[in-house]
Amino acid sequence: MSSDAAPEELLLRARGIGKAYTSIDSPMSRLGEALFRRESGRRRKHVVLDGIDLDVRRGETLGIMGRNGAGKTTLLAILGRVLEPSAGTVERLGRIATLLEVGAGFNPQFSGRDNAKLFCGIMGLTTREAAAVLPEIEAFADLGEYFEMPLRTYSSGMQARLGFACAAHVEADLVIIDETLAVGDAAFRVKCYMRIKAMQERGQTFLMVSHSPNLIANFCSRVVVLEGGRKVFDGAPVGAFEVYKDIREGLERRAATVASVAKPVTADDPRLTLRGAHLVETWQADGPPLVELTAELVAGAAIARPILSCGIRNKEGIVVCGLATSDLPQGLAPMQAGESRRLRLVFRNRLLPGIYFLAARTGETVGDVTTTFNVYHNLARLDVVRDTPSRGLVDLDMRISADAAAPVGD
Amino acid sequence: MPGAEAAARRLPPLRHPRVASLARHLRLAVDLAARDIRDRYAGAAIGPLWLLVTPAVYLLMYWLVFGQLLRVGWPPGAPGEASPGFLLPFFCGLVLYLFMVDLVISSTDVFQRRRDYVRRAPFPLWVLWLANLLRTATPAAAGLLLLLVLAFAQGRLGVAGLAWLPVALGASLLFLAALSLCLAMLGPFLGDLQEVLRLVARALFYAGPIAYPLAIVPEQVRALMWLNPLTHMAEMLRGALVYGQGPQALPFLGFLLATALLLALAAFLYRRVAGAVADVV
Repeated sequence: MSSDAAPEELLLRARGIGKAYTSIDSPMSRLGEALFRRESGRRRKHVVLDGIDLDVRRGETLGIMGRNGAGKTTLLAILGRVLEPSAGTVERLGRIATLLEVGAGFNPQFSGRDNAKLFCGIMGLTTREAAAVLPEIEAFADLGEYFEMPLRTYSSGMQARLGFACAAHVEADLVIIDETLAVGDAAFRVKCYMRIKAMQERGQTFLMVSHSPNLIANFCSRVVVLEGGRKVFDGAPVGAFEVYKDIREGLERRAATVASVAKPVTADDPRLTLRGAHLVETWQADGPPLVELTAELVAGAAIARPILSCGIRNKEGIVVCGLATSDLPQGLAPMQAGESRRLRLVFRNRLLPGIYFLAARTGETVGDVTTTFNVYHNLARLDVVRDTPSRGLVDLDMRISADAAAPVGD
Repeated sequence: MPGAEAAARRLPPLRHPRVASLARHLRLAVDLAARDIRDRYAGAAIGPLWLLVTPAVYLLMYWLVFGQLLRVGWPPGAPGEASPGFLLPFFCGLVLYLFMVDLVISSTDVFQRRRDYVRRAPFPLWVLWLANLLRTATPAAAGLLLLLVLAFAQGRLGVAGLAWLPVALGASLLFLAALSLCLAMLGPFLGDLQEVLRLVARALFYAGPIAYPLAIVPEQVRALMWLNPLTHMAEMLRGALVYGQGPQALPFLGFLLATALLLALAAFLYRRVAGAVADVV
């Protein structure tokens, strides 16, 4: 990738970013605070962001995930110089384009062309630069004659097309975008994503917000997960998904910061834990090697319907294969408090070269509700090295031949 | 590679980054103001002609009431000269008054009206303030043009007057710019400001020599009238366009001092408060 050219060039450095609003705050008292640079400690404070450190380097695409209200948009606005942080500093070392909302500042009276021009002006393009980009925007938005008509005659999908077309043609060192920019029909969304991919391949740096693990897996080289205004994860997408999933499922993660996936995960809930995971790979004469994972499953309380699921993920977080005892006809037998069982997971290793992680999850089913006790993102790591020309995740024993004069269908 | 070419073509020009970004923001302010004006007259049959029609109608109304019915007129500049009558001296004050009211009232909520820019767009707040100043200055410029034509038609436009004109306009503009920036910074926080200012502006109109000459005011009240900024601005412009004179020294110094103080206050407010505006609009 082109990011290899200057891997350490920093475009943005944020340290200790915080944003707090004093709740039930009258504008007048906010004025007093700003004027006299003091904070009245009496009022209750609503903390939106707290102590966020963030670096963005040239060539990477950094994703920000988090639930609604986790502070994603506020963080983007602060990094993009729209909002002022109440604490911390942001250093910007390049030209940054911030696009927080489709059609922010679009004027319904103006034509699509005029709005595109205005947008270029806001984003800091000169008239000449804007004139050069305009045909590309027009072509990308693909609005036909509507490009010359007032924006108020547009459907919402057409507005979105114009919005993204503008956003995708602004050249900056760092483009900060909200996922919601890519809206509209499926065909146009695909076009948007392809455009982002193409820009990435040219070395464009992005900072994007998304709810969607699929988007993140496709585009981001690094992910930050926000929860309650704090950074709870910063690292490879695979770890981010697990953390994000836990957050969404309401599983409280007491460990505030997960440094990376490789860090051993400490068990939080003693009701059903896994201990002493051990991985053995044995070569087989008749086929792919056999991998055996052994661990101890310990119940800290009586559990009527224990659940255990295991899975193999690749670095990008894509599940290669997974299995849950709840999907098996017999399931797991009830466990007594203090009971311990030997867990054994066996599979044929048909994985192609790469790094994989074995993950597991313990829980209990009550009625039709499944509660998760513990998640082990990285129970064991599997580095697969093997001599094969195939690429991908799983070896399907693929062959290619193209014989000189073989008749078709023979 | 077409992509690489496109990227190279769009590289920003090689200038000092601060200068470049200042130039960009100034251009943006002009652009926003121009679009505002176009937007305002987009649906109007006579379009930007309203810029001239509005002051002309005002002028006609006041001329009928004050000039014809009440027989108000300005004294001649020196004994023996012809009286300038009502129309031209009054119009000097009216143009400034209309400019000030429009600017002051619109400045207080300029950030609320442009909420989406304040909260979503990455450029400094002063761009919006400047765009608003430019927008309100446009009708004032049209009025000034009308004023110049009128002064010329009445044969009152001399070399001295034209020389003093930039002084009068520059001082007034500087004062109004500082005032409007202060109000723009305070407006988002003080919800009553706009309503109060509407009343104050109306009061200042009658408490200043706009529709009547300063000379008819009793001596002791006249001193008080110099507290009204409109008095200073109107008298300066009148001095240049009607009488071909410069401003009176003492009031002029006072006005400059007030302008300097207001500028300092505006800069202070901008530095302290600009970051908090996005929190409340």
